[in-house]
Amino acid sequence: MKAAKLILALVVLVSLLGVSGALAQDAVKLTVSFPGDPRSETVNALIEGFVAMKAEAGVTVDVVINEPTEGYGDQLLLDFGAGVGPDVFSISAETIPEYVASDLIQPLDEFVAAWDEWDNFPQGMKDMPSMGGSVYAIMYNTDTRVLFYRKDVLEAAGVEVPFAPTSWQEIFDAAEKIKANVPDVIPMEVESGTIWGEGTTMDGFFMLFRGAGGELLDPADGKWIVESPALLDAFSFYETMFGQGYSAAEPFMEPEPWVFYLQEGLANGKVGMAVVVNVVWGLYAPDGPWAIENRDEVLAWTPMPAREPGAGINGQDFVSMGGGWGWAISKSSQNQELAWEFVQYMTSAESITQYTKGVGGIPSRLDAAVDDEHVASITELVMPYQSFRPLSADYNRVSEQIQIATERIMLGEATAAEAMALFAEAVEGIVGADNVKRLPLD
Amino acid sequence: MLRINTRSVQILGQQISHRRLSELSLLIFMMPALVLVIAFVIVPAAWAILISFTNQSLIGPNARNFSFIGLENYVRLFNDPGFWNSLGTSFIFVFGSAFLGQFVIGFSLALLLKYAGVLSRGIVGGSVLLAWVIPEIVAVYIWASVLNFQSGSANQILLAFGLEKQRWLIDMPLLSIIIVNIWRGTAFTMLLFSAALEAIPDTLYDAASVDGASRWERFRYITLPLIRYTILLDFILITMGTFSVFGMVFAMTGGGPLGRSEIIGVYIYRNAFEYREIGYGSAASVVMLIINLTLALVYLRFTRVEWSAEA
Repeated sequence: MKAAKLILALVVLVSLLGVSGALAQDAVKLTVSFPGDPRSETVNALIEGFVAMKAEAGVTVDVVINEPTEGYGDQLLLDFGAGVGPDVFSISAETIPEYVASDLIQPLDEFVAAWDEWDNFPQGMKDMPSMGGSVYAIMYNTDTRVLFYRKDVLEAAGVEVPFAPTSWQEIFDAAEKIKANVPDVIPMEVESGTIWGEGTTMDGFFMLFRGAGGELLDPADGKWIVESPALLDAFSFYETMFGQGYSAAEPFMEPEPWVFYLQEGLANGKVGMAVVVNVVWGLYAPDGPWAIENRDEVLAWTPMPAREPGAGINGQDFVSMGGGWGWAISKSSQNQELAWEFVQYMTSAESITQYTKGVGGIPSRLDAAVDDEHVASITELVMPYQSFRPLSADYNRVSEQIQIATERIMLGEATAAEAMALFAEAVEGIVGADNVKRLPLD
Repeated sequence: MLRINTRSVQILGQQISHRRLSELSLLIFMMPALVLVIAFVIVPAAWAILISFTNQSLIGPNARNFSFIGLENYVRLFNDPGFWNSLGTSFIFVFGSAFLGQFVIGFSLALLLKYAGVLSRGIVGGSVLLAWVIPEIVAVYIWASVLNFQSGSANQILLAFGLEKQRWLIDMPLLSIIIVNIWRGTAFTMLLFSAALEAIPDTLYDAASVDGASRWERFRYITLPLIRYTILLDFILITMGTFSVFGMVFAMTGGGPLGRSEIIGVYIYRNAFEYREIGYGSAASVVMLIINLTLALVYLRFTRVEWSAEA
């Protein structure tokens, strides 16, 4: 009797374990990594939508989310290094070459060839995540850079508003007027120095360099161009800006220079003009984190002019730099098909619309409906001038040398020409003498 | 199962002497700490030493298929002016903030507190302690606002005295981080010496006074000899602590401008994580480990002298 009871209890226990085991077996696990705040809420909502969609189709997906806010890139690399990388991850386009070189990222060519929605992405959004003819990520958001200015400051300085400069000289002329007529305002800000990190290269240097028609990595032979007239022009811009007192060096050398220049400076009319990523427009919204109550009355933007009309890259009059984020699949993922379904869901027109509404930036698809005047005019006026950073596994270290060069000029420790010579020497040391070339300076 | 007599214990039929039992229990009690130390100190350190002989990187072809390259990282390290710069910067940083700053000021404060009244003891001791308990990154923000060029309080004070504003983080980055580190670390030395001074019996001073010893003589012949091991301990602890500082300097100056405040911790971080060369970065941290170990050995050597002298 006692034995029978015991056996019964065992049978119940085992079957219970079996049932729960079977339940766990049914759920497919998908690990996802993306940078958390301020994306967290929106992306989590989208992921819930994906899980619900799969549940309707009878598949239980257990999505494991990893969303560090600080040091996302480093954490992702360490995860991959430790062999616990995610199935799907969000990636900033310029880091793709490093992942390709490490064989961590899955080419999506076969997937997109059979995807009827691929052509809803403009060519630029197809090029940005591509390398050596293969697509490595599907972009879900992009951004661009323009010249922001304070209408009230420029008016007080005697500069005509709306301000629509067509050359660097017109920007300097406006800065000179601000310096003379509104003395307690810093006339302009272009991201400089090593503390601002990649922002200095992307938002500052390249906006000038492209405006001088510059190319840093020759697409023809894959060599780094470490001396060129365009490089000297771009560095000379910094020399004039700091040498003439149009910008202040000190805040760039203090922690969080963006707080001084953008969050407080531009927001309170203490800075006249700034070359910035367009995303700040949303940050400055009356209900945004860097709120300017009367934003539309005091703040405006204009496309960044080339050094002079036609001097920009591809003979352009205006220039801009584009960056952006995409979804990529890990090469080692055991769930390639499911991962691709996830990426498709996250980059559908509806998802991208939802993401742009929640987080900002510019949608990466032509058919994403974003009812926003700013996004619409940016897309129309600036996107055609968009160019991108060179795709190379050495980019990171070359970029740091650019930041160091701007720091030298900013601190008055080197002229533009001296800074360029030191830059050339340093890059040569990083990539090797065979991989650099110098263009004649006329 | 368990039988006890005065000389030995019988456990599971085994006769175990008291002496062995106490050794055994010592080991058992040390186990949790030992496991943690092995898992989080010994193994990572050994791992760092191992990969310092490889060309492993965080990304790229060498991320997974790295190979042993012998002493190559070390040869490169010793030929890198940036490494010697960071080592030199670190020594100035340690000498300035640990020795001249924390040690001298902390010791003086401890002496002051011993003879100060209750009220001033509370105020001075409390405010010094406060700097110590504030999280590193908060301290950075406090000092960033103090040293801010445009409107920081340091420059406001200079202006009030009719002096010129200073570009603290540009023209004297090393001095700036030394000051911040003194501000943060002085409390530790102060506490250590306060405790040591309290432990000296008053009767010694009373007896010396009766014998006609001056205040200086009492300090020189009673206080100093009795706290000499505390001095050594403090000196070595703050030297090692300061040598390992990273977060404060990284957040404050990022090692700049142009490497002028790049202490060794920042150098290691840049190479291992920003440049993704974890093997090379490890080689630099092994050098740092050796310097710290040498200091620790010096300390152990002196304390052993103390123990055997007492025994």
